[in-house]
Amino acid sequence: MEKSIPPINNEVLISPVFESITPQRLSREYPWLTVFSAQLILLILPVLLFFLDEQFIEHLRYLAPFVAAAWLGLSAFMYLHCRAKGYQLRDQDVSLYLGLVFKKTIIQPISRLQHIEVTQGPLERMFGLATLKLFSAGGASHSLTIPGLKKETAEGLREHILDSKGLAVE
Amino acid sequence: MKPVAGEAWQRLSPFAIVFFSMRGFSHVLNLYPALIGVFVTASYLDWGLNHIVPLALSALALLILFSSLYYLNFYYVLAKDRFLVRTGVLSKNRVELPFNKIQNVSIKQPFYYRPFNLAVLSIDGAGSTANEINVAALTLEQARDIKQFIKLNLESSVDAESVQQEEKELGASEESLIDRSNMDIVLHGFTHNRAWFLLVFIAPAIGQLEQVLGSIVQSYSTQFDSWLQHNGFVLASIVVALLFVVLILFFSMLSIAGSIFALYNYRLRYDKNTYIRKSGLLNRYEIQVRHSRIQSVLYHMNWLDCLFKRLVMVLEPFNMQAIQGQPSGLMKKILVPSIEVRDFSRLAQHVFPGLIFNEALFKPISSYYLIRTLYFAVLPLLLVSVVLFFKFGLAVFFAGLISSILVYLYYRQKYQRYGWYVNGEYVVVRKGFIGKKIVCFPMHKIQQVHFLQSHFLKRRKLASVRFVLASRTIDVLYLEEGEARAIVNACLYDAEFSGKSWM
Repeated sequence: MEKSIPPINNEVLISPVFESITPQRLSREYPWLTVFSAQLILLILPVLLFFLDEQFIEHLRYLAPFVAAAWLGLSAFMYLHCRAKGYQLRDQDVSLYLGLVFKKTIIQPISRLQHIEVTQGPLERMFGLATLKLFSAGGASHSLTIPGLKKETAEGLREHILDSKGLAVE
Repeated sequence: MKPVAGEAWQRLSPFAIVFFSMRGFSHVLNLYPALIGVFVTASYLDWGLNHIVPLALSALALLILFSSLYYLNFYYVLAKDRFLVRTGVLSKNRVELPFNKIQNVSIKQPFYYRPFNLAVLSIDGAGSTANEINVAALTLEQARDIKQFIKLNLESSVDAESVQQEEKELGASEESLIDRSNMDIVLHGFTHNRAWFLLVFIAPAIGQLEQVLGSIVQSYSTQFDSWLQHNGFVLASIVVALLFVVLILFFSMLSIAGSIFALYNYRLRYDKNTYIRKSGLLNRYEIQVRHSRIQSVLYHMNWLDCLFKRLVMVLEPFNMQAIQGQPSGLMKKILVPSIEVRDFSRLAQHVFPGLIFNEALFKPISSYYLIRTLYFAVLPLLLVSVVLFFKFGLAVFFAGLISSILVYLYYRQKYQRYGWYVNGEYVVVRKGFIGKKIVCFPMHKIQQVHFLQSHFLKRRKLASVRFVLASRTIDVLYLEEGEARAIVNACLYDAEFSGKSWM
């Protein structure tokens, strides 16, 4: 079990205030995974073209460059947005960092956790990634979800949190 | 009669059918909006008494039939250490309640049992309403014996010792916190009118009403017709205004009646670390919430309340549904109707010792709240009205101008209502437009904290904070950056290191 515990910066662990925590990056594949799964929507395009009438497609020809540019922009934003995400573990809590312009830090005390899940979707499995979900009594909409972790890192984080003394066992 | 501590399944007395029927009837009454739908359909199909009476009788017969079946399938056993109940006509249920899990045993006497000296023994399981057992139609004596039996056995069990000790430590004295008079309850029914949603069900009938009115007006003489032609607008507006007043009166009466049914003889007590609320006209309702389960306290004063300087207080326990693996539904909130501010601060202090509630303490949020409104709502509206001025003329421009001023005033009022302060370990947040909602909670009850700071906020050294509690989520917008950080760190410290439980 020793080797699966993720590298934790000692400096971080003792930081008494949340603003001095330095976030850890998510796995490098994670932004690519998100962008890739977004491209899967494009698969329905040929089907769509089959159903649309020719006149409409004629109109579409002029719009196509703009749509393509917007799509590229969106994908780029998705990439950057995912790359900006981060997380960190302290002895007593887990933090998640989100947002490019509208930055958000979510801090989840371990003493308030109800249970922990590690999930892996089919695409995530292809990339060897996993998602760590932390549930508190604040409701399902406020479960803390850390995506894009290496499978071992996610498992290690889960073990570490379960081992730490603070977890509320109900 | 002594309760049998054997293992034989026992049936209730046949009088229990009355109890089950009444319970079924009250379930039906709770669907009163649907009944209005039935009524509308009945009047649409032009049913007379000759239809309605047989239908009502057959419905009654069905109710009694079902209750009888339920009665025939209801068995209970009072064993040495547990209470077992078997119910269900088609799908069978079996509830097992060990004595040490029993929170409360109470004897209820519905009005229809009083003449016969019968009673319902109500046994509450650990904290949730799903684990409630009602043993109906016992004689009062029997009910008291069973209650005594459970108590005696509980005292002899090991688990009970700690309970007893706890009681001693706390000084088992029962404390009455607040009673509400009939006047207060009527006022609550008036200010917190929940009957408005009935409008939805009545809406189909409004068309018919119009026809009826039309036929009434037409049935008058031609003289009246000519008068109507001259004074048409005035008359129509008077009729509409009258109808409106009648409608408001009608719904207020409904709401007041509902309030009296639910809240009559309201009493809030504190006993053995538990808040107990009792009220009700025909049947007494009881809600119990353990002190430690209360997550937040809400002060709710709507615009009508403002006129009477009254407010509703709500003690909010955690939301059971939010916790994974807990099958039971929502934990019930305790509502304290129509109290004055000084009562609120007294009760809030009882729930959260050391909390000082004082509106003078509220600190405003940053005026960036208004600047944001200016940028995102008022200026765009003005711009649109200027553009429309060139197309449609002055009237439209003024309409745009006035609406943008109104929008600004709306947000200004909301901004002035916004406030927050930290008092010891408690956070108090105020919001509202004309009325106000104030939430108080102890820092250690937080489940999660969010710290939000956009690029624009960072430039102004501001930040927003979101507190996630097990009962609700509270946002405080645009605090000074340092204050926001301090409050987040304080909350985290209390949740992580103080060792205080949130449950």
